[in-house]
Amino acid sequence: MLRSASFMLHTPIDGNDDFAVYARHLEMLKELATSKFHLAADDAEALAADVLIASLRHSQSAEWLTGAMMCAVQKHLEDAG
Amino acid sequence: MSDDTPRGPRRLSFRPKADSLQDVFRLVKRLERERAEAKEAVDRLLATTPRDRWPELSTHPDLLTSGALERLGNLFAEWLGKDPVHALEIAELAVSVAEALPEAAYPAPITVQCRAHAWKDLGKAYRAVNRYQESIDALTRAGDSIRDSGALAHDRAIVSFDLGITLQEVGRYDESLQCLGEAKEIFRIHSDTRRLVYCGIAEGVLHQRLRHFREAREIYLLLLASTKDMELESLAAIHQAIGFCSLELRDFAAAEANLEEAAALNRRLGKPVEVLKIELGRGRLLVRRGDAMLAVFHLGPIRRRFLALSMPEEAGLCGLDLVEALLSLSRFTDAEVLAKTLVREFTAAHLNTRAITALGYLTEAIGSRKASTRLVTDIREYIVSLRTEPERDFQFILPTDGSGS
Repeated sequence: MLRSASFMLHTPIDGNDDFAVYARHLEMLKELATSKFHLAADDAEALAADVLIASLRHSQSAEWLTGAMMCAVQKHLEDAG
Repeated sequence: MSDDTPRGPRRLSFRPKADSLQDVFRLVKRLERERAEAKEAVDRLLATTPRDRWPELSTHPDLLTSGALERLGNLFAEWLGKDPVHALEIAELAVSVAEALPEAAYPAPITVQCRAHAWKDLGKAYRAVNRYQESIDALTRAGDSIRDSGALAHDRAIVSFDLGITLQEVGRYDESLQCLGEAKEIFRIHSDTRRLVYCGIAEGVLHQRLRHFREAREIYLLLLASTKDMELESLAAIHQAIGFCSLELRDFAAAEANLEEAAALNRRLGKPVEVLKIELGRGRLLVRRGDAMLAVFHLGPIRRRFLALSMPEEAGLCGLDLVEALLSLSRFTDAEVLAKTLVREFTAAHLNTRAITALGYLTEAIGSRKASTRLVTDIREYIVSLRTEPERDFQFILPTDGSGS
């Protein structure tokens, strides 16, 4: 799952205004959280939006976004006990 | 939310305000616009406001944006290497602005990120002006501000890396290693190879400071073996470090090969001063290997180039390698004359008085024929240590047998 999500996140989003790219990234991050880590859909969406927002200052590569999502999910699960 | 999807025991503690794609997209557009507008506005405000009135700018509407804070961050980075005191003024302003940002101005990740980076830059600025405790406090504040945000793990790692660097400066090596280790793991997960290498280099430097040259060299070698497409600067720094570690380990073949590679890379990078420092290492290699006569010929021109570049401390360290070579050749009078010259140069350059005292002590020891090459090495290491511990006491005991090597 991680590999396929990473593959689908390959398009960079720096500076362009392609709404579809953001949509795809958000969807993929959400899918990563729900399929791999079994997060609830609304939690996954909120977390994915967080990661996408946090990425705006950084690289926004597929690897970066995937890593950021993994860390965010891990923290979420830790907080959830 | 669908009923068949498993749910965590409690909801997110850090839920963003922007909870739909449309909101995220609008935010992106807004940040882009603010970023574009900020450059002119920030530069104009800083240029037209006297520095003693910068604190009044912290609530200026043109500065209370993420874009303005990014611009202040860029200016900070530009000035840090040129004028750390000015960089500190910019960082202080950025912290005031970041703290004045209204909570509702942006979704929480942006606000938290802005504040954390402002505090992080302030920590770096304090470190640059040797105010280490304040640096630790600012970096701790930065780390605390993003501790609860899962999405900001990468930002947290950047802060942790910087805290690790400052902790090294105050000799808190275990804590430094812990910070660097935490940062490394997050950079690895984010595939941030560049920062991963920086962490590795910082760990190596820490071991060198502890004189654990074998461990340091292992770290550098592992970095070389495990990193593809490394930046030339990092590659050059690693070869240089391996060369100096190998020199300390008396692995002269490895030292020579790596110093040569580092010199070639630095020539490609157009860094003549680094090349000169590497040539100094090669001179030291000749002394250690027993080629003292060659070392004298090699080091003389290098020392003159350091002097020509107005780098008296480097010239002095080079001079100490020359003194060591001269003592190896039993040229005591030449060594004494050179040591006296070093005292004069350090005094004229107003360098640390402890360094001058140590050099004076060496001069007397050579004059009374009680100086060993080991004493020269110890004094050189003492002078280098004053860069990070300027108050360190000078304590040496002359050998009683008067051996010259």
